[in-house]
Amino acid sequence: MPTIMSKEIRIDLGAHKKPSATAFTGRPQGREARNVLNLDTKDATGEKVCFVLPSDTTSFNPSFFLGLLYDSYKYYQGSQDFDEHYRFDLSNLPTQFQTVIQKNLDDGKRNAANSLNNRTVLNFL
Amino acid sequence: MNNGLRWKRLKHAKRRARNELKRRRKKKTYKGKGAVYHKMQSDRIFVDKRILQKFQSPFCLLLSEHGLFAKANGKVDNRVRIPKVFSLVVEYEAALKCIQHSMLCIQQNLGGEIIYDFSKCKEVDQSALFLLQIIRMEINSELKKVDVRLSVLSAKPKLTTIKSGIESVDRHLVLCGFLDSRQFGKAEGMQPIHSIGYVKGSKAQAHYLENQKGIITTGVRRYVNTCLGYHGLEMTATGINHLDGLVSEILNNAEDHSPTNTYYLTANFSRELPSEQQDDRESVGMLNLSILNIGYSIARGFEETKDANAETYNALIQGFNRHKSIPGCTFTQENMFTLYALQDGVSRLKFEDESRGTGTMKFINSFFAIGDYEDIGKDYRPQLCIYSGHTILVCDNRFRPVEKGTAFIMPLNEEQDLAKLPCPKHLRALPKKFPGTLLSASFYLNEKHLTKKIKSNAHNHE
Repeated sequence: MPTIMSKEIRIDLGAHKKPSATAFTGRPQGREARNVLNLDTKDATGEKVCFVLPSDTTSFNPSFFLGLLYDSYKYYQGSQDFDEHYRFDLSNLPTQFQTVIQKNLDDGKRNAANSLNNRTVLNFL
Repeated sequence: MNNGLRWKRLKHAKRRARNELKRRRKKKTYKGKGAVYHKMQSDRIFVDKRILQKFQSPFCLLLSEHGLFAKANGKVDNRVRIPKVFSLVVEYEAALKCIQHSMLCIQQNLGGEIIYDFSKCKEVDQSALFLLQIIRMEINSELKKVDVRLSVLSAKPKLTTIKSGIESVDRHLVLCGFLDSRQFGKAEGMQPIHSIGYVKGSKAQAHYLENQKGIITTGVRRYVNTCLGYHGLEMTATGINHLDGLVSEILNNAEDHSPTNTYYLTANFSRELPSEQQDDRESVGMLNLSILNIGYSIARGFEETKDANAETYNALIQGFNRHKSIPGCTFTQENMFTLYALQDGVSRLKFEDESRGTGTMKFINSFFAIGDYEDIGKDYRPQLCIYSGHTILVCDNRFRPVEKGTAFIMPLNEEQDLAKLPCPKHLRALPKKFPGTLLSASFYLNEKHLTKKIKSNAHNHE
């Protein structure tokens, strides 16, 4: 659990995709972004992060979300702490995209929760 | 002028002269044709022939490593006779045999003419044409490299297509680049509109920001939006988001399952031209999307990681043993593993990253969100086929994914129960191995249907 509390850092996620691409996708890409942004260290120091999405974002896939944030989700055991430490600023996006991207983020969290609690369809087999 | 620039210009001039000489030799436009010329020319031809004899297509070798062998019994002629039904879904074995034959034709008739004879063909599908075209294009690009080494002869074959005369077949031939649209004429049914072409993507980029997936995804989505424009519609934010999800997750899977770092993609569109009597909103468009990667099958992926991924693998084995004990079960382990792999949270890479296994269900859900328009009378049936190893899996409007708790499952049976056997029409064993994984989706766009769906979604969210 975090030992030092600090103020929120704003990270522009637009710098972590190609300028001509509008979708955030791919687990390896999410994981790379995580490494570049040193999120493991930020988890350990308890820094709060706000990811700012660029205005042309059309999709934020669970694969990228999980590559970027699954380890943090696990670190905070999927608790409220995770939401307090990781926030997404969608204000740059057109209103109609804010809703769908929010759904993508919720979907990413649903997948993270399933993985964390080992809830897969293997249970149904 | 400084010396560096002078040298550079001289180098370019020399290269130009050399290339010009090569072109002239190939066209044989020498003015003087004395004995020395003839001797030199025959020497050059001798060397060229040696190069051509030694040519072995690396792409064909890769295919044969993954089960698509092309062995000739004697000399193969230059005509690829396309069977009556050239479809991987309906006549898998015949279609694959024909594709193998085309590989041999090109390799044994280097520099000659290759004839794709569709005159007896009555039915085709996108998957078969896509595979045939990708193999041809890959061998062609290798031959282009060989051509650079040749002085007189040429390795690249000339391609001729004999059309079928059946409207639906010829339409697919235009869309897949076998026929020129001018050769098609005006049709009563659907008219080929355009194609995105053939896109070759690679995961082997030096930096994660250089990865092409995002750009290809955006390109395909813009293409689909253009297609919707023909039906007086434009994608909403939700539609854009769904389609981005669909394409990018398929590409993620293609990257995951390809040992060659490459995948191929195509999309094309055709539509009914509205008649004077018909309401424009009734007109239907057909969109095809295919993505191929050569390499491991989905099931083999699980086999290769079974030690590291023991927990998932053992659960799958237990699941298979339970299915196998059900009377009437004819499915192989490979068939069932392919089905299991599509379910939420199942991945061969679970041991590397426990959050794996979310992509496939996302793209199946997105497919149904966009393209579930159906008109059985006109044989417009949306379909998503997955060919992988010895398995074919068919998703259509009959069996859709269902939500169980917090996960999505797709059991492919009436009972919507993963513990029961899937429908044998939707999960089948293939008689010959497919050399990788191919996803081929065909869906139909109709303004009335989509508008109704949009309204109903809006109503549900109120």
